[in-house]
Amino acid sequence: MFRRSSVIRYAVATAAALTLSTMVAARASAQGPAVSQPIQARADVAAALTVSGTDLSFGTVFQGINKTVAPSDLTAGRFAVTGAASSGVNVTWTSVPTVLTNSVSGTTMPIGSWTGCANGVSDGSAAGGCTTSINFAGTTAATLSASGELYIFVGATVQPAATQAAGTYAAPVTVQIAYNGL
Amino acid sequence: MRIASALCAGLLVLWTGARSLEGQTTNTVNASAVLGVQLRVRGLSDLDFGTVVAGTNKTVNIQAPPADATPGQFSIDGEKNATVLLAFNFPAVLLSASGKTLAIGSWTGCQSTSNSVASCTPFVFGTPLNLRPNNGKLWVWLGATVSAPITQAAGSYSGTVQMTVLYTGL
Repeated sequence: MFRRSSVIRYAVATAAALTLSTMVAARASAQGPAVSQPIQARADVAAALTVSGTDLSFGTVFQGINKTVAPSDLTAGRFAVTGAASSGVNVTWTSVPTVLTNSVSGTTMPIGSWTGCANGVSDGSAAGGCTTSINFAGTTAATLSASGELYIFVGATVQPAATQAAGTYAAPVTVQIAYNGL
Repeated sequence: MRIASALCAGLLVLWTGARSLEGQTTNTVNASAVLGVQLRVRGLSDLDFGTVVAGTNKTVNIQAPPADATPGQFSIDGEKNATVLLAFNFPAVLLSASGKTLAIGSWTGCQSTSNSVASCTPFVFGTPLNLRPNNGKLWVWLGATVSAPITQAAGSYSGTVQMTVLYTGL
């Protein structure tokens, strides 16, 4: 009996040693060296678009006589756009009035025949050379200049009725500019 | 008589076995170690946000990034079916050449045992991941969000994303 007991103890001891060896080996492997590698995170920031406006002024008009302001006239409406150099933008009109309104009486004066053009050269007038015709009914694609500028000139014709009431008439013209190539 | 002989033979065997334990004896076990495959990490693709307009945020969604953007990508090679832990060093800002900063955050991760972003599974940073059972490979993609205020200076911004991989189970 004593000898059989020795055999069993020996076997148990051997098994324990093997188990320990296995555990030690596993722990050693788990402590292998860490490896690392970098990548870059990149972004190109484009300047935000800005738009400023100068009113379109018809000046004094007379009953029954149409008056037109061309885009090249000094009193044409003007939008100055700034943004990322040489980038493409979409020009969309969100408000193109068909009448001007007297804010006191509420009476209106028809306005129509909108015309417009754009260039990236001069904010003084369209005479500097308009390169893009404006589509007031839809979207016009245009390109900012190498210095990130675009100027949009707007003209129209007012049609005062023969019985048009005297007074001041006005309406907003609103343009929306959005990048189309970024 | 045959029964008595059989008993004697049995006793002899037992006695012989017992005798062998009384003297010196030796036994051998093997000490063995298997050298696991060394981990290898490669940066396959930068995390590229493309153009960000000042005044807007832009997110690189890993599986549906903007048209001009790409998620970052790493590949890992190691022991088949091993468990690994990924540790990341994420920048809080990207820098321009002039030292201006662009905020970056909201990091996301996606992993797959095949090199296909379409089949990747989002994972939580700090969660152990398993390498592919039959070849020990794993691919990891990263996305994030940059936030450019309206006053953000135009220009190119960049930063380093470091991924460290460690075995945690074989």
